[in-house]
Amino acid sequence: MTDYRVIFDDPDALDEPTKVLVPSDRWMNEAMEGNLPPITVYWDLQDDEQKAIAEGRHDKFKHDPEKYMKQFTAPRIGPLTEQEALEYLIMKDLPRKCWAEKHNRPMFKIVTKEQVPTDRTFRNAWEMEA
Amino acid sequence: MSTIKVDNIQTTSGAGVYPARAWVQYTMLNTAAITSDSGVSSLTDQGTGNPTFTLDNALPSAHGSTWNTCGLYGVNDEYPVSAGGKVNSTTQWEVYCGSNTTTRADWYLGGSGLFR
Repeated sequence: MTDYRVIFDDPDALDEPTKVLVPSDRWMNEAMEGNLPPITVYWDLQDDEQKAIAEGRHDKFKHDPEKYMKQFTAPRIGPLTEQEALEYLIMKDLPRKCWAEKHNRPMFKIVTKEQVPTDRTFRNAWEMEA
Repeated sequence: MSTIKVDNIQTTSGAGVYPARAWVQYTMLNTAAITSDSGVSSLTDQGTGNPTFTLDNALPSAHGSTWNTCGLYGVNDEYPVSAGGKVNSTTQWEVYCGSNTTTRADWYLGGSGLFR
């Protein structure tokens, strides 16, 4: 079971509460056993969908069947360490603007589970420390 | 373990069968966590009673139906509450966990999934 979490802010919505990404233990095991395709397979799909959203045709959008199938047929990249699996997950599941673009402060941090507050009384007011 | 790969599943009479693409059991109380899942790579805690789930693999298009049920509201609170959810993209669905029809709350145990 992974002890890591990823806290992040949306650079376009800094007033929103800080978000916490929790990896699936099952998915982490899959990654560490080497069952993932190259990350570019997911990026290609994300690029196509983002383009459809930007052009206002998301409702009717369908992935290119060849690119879609690569999720299942592309050669696997081999076993990853826990750290590498987490970095892969960040590049797959976090909005790309959080980690691929430069900002005046980091938009995400890898933390341990214990560093995430357990008192959720003011959950909607959580902010990431700079 | 064996894997069956098919494009469509039908009954012997030809009616379509549509299994869930993913399911997840989760908690939002204290620290958010996935207790078990299939087909979900991560949960994102976006705020009180508002997790999103990211799929292992993208759907062909951003259409589908989600469910979200409260297993336990608190550690020993077994009563029904309101819930909702929707598909946001080919890779994510978002759910809303309620304490009633107007207030979001962090459940102790929830179950969610996506049909398509």
